[in-house]
Amino acid sequence: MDEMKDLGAGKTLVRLPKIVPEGDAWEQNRVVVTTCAISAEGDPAQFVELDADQALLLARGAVFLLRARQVDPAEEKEIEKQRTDACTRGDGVIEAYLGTTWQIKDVYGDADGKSSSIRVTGRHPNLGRDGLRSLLCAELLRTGDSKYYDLRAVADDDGRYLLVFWADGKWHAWIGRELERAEIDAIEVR
Amino acid sequence: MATGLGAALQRIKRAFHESQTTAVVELATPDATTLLGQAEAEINRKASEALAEIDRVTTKFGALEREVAALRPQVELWQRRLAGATTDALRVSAGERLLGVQKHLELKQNELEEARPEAEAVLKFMDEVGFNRDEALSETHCLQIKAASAAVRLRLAKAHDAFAMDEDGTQKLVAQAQDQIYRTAGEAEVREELAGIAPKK
Repeated sequence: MDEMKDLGAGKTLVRLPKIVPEGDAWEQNRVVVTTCAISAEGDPAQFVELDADQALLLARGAVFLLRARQVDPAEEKEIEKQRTDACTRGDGVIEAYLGTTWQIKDVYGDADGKSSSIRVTGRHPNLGRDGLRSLLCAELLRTGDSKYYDLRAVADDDGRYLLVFWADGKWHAWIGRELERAEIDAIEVR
Repeated sequence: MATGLGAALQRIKRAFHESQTTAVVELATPDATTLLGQAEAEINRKASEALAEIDRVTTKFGALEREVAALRPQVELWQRRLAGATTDALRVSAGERLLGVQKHLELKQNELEEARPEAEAVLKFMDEVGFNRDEALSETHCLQIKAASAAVRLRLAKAHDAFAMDEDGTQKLVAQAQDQIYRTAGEAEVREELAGIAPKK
């Protein structure tokens, strides 16, 4: 975990587990594309975007490995509605998103963006070349910071971890799983 | 009770004795001081070397302990992955990695057991002289050795001999310095006695 604090754009993560093992591979090497600091109501987190549309969320002493989910405008509206409904009801549950029920773990920020922000702290020097791309919205990458609000939840059926956040007018959705301590300890940052 | 003249004579005799004693000690002190200085320098040098040796042993042992502690969860991780493998390819891959990690753990455990007796002896000694394990490992304490008590420094110096089996003369030097002090003190006492006798003649 200590080593994870030194993550910087351009570094390579060696022996990063796969979200789901495939072929004969349990692990992978991934390159850090962008790094972002999330200021969330005094509970700071780090969002580390990797190549191959993956990312790490470092929050509350845990590390989550996520894969980007492309969301169209219709799904963005759905996410916004689900979040609003869940916050309004206050029951901590999202019903029927992606075909399952999600238990809300955390909700940070609000639509006026007063309490939370996201700031891009690092960009890979070859970003935009050599197949390295960021899925953060172009405006956020250009300006470097934005208002931010999110929702973090765990799927009832299989324990998948969901992070959806709004930044600079766009919803971003990421789904994956929490890494085990032994998995984190095996990761080498080069 | 001494008369006024008697008391005055006593004072003169006492002053004479003191001047004689001081003179003798002043003459004798430089040799003893030099010798003590040499002994102290030697003690400090050996104490520092002992701490360096202690640091080497405990650092190596500590690193092995951490390595073994870090490898155990890796073995468990690969055991879980092997058990949870959904395809033959993943099972083979997990099995190979598990064997590799187990072999590495076994190697490090053997190294740890080999290093344990020496490390435990060192840590026991450090406890006896009043350092805990963290202090023994602390570079600050190595640098602060001159601020340690004389007793601790002497014990460390003796430990140096125990660790390094160095046969040179720390003990001899200390004994020499002590002899010199006793001899000087003895001479002073004799002179004082002699000087005390002198006025009675």
